[in-house]
Amino acid sequence: MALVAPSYGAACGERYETLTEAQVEKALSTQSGLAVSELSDLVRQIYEARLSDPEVDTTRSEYCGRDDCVYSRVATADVIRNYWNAPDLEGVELHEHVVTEDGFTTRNLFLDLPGRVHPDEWVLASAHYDAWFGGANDNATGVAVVLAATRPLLQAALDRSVRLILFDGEELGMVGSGRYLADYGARGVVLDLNADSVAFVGTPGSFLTKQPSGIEYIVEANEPSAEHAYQFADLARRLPEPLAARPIVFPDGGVSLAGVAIGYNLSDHAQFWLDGARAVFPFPAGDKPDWYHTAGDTPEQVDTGRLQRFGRLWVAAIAAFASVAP
Amino acid sequence: MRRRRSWLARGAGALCLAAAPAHALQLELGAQTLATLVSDDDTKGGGVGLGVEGSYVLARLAPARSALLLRARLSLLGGAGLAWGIEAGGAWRAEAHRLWQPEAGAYLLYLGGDLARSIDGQGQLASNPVAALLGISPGRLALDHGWVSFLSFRGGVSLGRSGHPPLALSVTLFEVGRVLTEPER
Repeated sequence: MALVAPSYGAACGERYETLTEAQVEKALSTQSGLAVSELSDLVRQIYEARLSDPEVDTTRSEYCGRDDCVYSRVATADVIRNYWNAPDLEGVELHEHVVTEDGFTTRNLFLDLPGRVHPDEWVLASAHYDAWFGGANDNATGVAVVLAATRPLLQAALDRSVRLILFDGEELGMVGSGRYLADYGARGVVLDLNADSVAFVGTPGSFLTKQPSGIEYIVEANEPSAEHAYQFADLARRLPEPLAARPIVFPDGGVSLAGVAIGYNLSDHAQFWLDGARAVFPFPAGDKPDWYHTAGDTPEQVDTGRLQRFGRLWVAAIAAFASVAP
Repeated sequence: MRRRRSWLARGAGALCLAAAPAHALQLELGAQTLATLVSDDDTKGGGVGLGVEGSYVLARLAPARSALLLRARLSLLGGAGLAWGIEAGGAWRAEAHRLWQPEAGAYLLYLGGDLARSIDGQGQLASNPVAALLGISPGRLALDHGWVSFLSFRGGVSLGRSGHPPLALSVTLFEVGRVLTEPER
C-alpha cells in the first residue's frame, strides 16, 4: 500500500487545481446512475427501524447533551446488512469490523469496490449509522447516501478502490471510526469523504458561523485535503442540478495545539484529521435547527430536494476522486 | 469667552510641541498577554498569546504631560494553530494623574499564520486579513520607570471583506512595560 503524501498546494499562494475534464466526465456519468427516489425511502426505512429498535440504550444521555436521550444502532445495522446482502450485489462482500473495548462493542460495516488501476489507493465514503432517537437527518440521510451510491459506483469500474463504510459509535465520541483507524490505519487512503446530516436547511447562524447568502453547504477540510474540498465545491457547481458549496480549510491538519480536532461541525472525518490523513466533510451551512438530537429529527425535517441533489454530488465526487487524472 | 481662548491656547501649544519636540528620543517597550480574533467571510482565527509592543513618543503636551505615540506590536497567538499579528498605529495618552494614564488609539492589524480560510471559486485560498481597530487602555498605571496595564480593548473591522460583521477584536489582558529612554526634564 502506498502512503499518500499530503499536499499543501495553495498555502504558498498557488491556486488549487480543478478536476480534469476526464474526471468530471466520469463524475457526471456515474451520478446519473443514482436512483434518487431511493434516498427518501431509505431514510424513512432507517428512521422507522430505529423507532422499533428492540435494543435501544437509554443510559448514554451525557453524550447527547440533553436528558433522556435514546441511542439506537442495532436496527440500522440490520437495514445496512440487508441492503448490502442484496442478490444483485453478488461479488462484493460485506465486512464487519467488530471491536470490544471498555465493555463497549462497535461494529463498523463496510463494502469494498476494488479499483481497476490502483487497487491499493482508497477513497473512503463514510457515514455513521448510530443515532439519537429516530435520527432521520442525523444520520439516516448519510447512511442512505452511502448505500444508494453502491450500485452506480460498482457499475462505474473506477481506477481507485472505494470503501463504503458505515461507522458505529460516532454519537459517543467517534468511537467506531477511531477504532477503525487504530486497526486499519490511513495508509493508502487518498481521501475520506464523510456524510453526516446532509439534507437539512440550517438556521442562519451566528457571526462566527453565518455564511454568505446562497451558500447551501460548507465543505470542511484540513490542509492536506484542501484541494479535494475545492474540487468538491467546484464539482457541485457543474452538476445538472448544482449546489452552492463553499470550501473552508482548517489549519494545521485540522487539529488544534491542544491536540483536538477543530471545525464548525465534528464527525468521523475528525478521526482522519487526528491521524494526519485527508478527509473532507460537506455539511449544510448555518447552524443546526432546534430538533437536532431530539425526537423531532423526523423524515419531515429532511429536505427531499436537497437530499437528492446532495446524493448526486456525493456519487459524482467519489467517482471523480477515484478516477486518476490522465 | 475667556474660557474658550484658554482651550484654543492649549491646542496651539500642543501643535507647537508636536512640531518641535522638547524632549529627547523616548522609546517604550511593553510585554503583553493578549487574545485576538478576526472573523469575516473569508478568514476566521486568532488565539491567545504573547505580544511585544514598542512605542515612540512623538510629542508631549505640557504641563499635563499627555503624549502622542506611534506604536507597533508583534504578537504570537495559539488557537487553532499558530497565528501571528503585526499592528501599527497611533495613540493618545492622557496622563490624567501621576499614576493613572489611560490611552486611546487607532491601529491597523495584519493577521497571518494558521487561520480557517475559505477557497474562492478560482481555487485561491483566502489571504491574510487586514483590520482597522480603535482601542482604549483604561487601566494603565505608571511606575517609576515603566507601567502596568490591565484589560485594554481594541475593536474594529477587517478591511475589504464581507461578514456578519467582518469583525476584529483584541484584548490585552495584562501588560508590563519599561521606558527605555528617559526624557529630558
